[in-house]
Amino acid sequence: MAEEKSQASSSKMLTLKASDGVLFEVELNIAKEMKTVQAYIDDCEDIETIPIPNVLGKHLAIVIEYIKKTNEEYDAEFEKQWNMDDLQLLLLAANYLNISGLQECLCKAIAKRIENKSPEYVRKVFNIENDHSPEEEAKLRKEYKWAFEGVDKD
Amino acid sequence: MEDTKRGKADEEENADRISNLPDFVLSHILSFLPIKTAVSTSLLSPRWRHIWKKHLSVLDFSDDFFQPNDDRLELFKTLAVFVNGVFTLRKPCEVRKMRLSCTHSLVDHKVCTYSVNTWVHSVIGPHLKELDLTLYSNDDDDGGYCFEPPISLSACINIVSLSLNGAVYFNLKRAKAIRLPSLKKLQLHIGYVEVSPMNALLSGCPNLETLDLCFYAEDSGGIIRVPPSLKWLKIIINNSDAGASLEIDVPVLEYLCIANITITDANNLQNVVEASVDVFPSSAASAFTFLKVLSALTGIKHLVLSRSTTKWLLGGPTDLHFPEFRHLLHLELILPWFNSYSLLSLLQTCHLLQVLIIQNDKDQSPLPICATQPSVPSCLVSHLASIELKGYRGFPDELLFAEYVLQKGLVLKTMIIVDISVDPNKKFDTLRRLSNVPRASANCQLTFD
Repeated sequence: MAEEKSQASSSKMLTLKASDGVLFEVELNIAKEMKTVQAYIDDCEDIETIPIPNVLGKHLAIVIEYIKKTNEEYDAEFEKQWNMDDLQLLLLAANYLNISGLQECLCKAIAKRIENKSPEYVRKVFNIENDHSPEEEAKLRKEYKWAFEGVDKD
Repeated sequence: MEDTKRGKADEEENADRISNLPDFVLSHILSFLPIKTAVSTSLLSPRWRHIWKKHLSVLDFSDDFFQPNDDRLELFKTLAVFVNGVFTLRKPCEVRKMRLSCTHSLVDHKVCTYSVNTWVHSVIGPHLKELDLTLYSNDDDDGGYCFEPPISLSACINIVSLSLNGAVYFNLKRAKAIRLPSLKKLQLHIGYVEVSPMNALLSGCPNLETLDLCFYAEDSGGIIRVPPSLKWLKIIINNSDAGASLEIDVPVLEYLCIANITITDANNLQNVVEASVDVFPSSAASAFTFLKVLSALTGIKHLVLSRSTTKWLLGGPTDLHFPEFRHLLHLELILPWFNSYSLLSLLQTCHLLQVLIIQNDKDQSPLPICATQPSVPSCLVSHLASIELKGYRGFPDELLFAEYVLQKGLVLKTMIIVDISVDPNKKFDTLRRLSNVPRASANCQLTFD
């Protein structure tokens, strides 16, 4: 990654190591947006390389870019670029790294893609295995009949 | 999902990742969904069965969820079963936002009254940040469903946005008792209301920044007073003969939109950047006051004036009262008649004008055409980049004006003429004539539709 011009407020650089070994050099104030990383720094002042075992290099790059560029306009366009698989992995990354703004943006994006869709569609999109037995499923549908009664079709 | 056959990588590609997220993240996703989608996730898998019930802090209900039913009460009952199901099954969690929209189902029956009141009461409290009620009755006159906001609304000490639309009624005693210290945005699109309860309610919102009112004024001669904290104000009175008026002192106001209301007293309008005005002062005295108000918009950059306002403003060539707006960049006028002399005199006062949009509302000017001007308006020479003429009728005066602008507009980029109602031959002739006019600005584009 190209080295960014250091900002006046902080010239200290930190290295983040993704799960596949890819290294990223970021400024301290960018890294601090990731509360998990902040916790590392709080515990150990001199740390220079922080391992991020749950996040692939490709997703960590996207996360860092988000932190640098986030604003209303950027956020609105951000989610359109990624497929559902990436969105979920990014959300897992944002959740692990504890970045609230990115989590919010991704939750909204995922919700948008399953809005007004049937359970069957949602299962397919998320690869959720329906481990209800047919009897259980029938019972549930009956229990929640009121939620589906007279509801407009998708 | 793509079908790949790559062994282990394949497994990872098709894994159920979402279930690896903690419950509260999943319910956060669900909070952005319409409730019926959220509830239906209980069917996805055993893991998902109870997720929708937790952290359900945003409730959004509408009778649009259900298939239309001529029997309004039946439709309401279907909605009620759904809403009550959600309320009873959800795990206790403070509701932060609630929206309830009933546009085809309310009737004057205790099922409706009790249900709506109970639902509103169950979310009222210090955790409520936003409340949006749209409750349209079946009957516009007396005798039909009606919602009265409870005094307990004051328990919503942290509410930031309140929107009440439809059959909502305020009486003075209750309105006086309602206090909403954190309220920043208030929208009331309702029926008949008297000015006193309206003022009482507004005085209970001392930190209000956005106010959107649309109603029928019950009493004529009532004066509305708005909080001085306002940044955005829109008041539309639906009955034009109401004679209601407005008193404002709004030092931080940036946006103003008023229709069918006169301003009796206005101070501190210098920060208003955008305004849309549709008023018709009924007497010379009120016209004078109104002119003072218009002139007080010294910082205005974007101005829209409707037919009634312009009719009064452009009364005659010698009576032109258009104030000088030093910062005006964008002007839209709906004209009662087309008169190029009045328009050019008006342009003399807007030195920085960049965009001009004129809508011609039918009539030929009752005044004689007088095309000579002492000097070219300075905005034409240096700033006017875009002009749009809507409702071209083919009057000679309109053509003269368009030609003049093309000839003198040094920085003009676009001239758009639309909504043309002349016969095709005349239209073609006009287009040809305009295209042949020598243009002062080389890159000026003429669009004639």
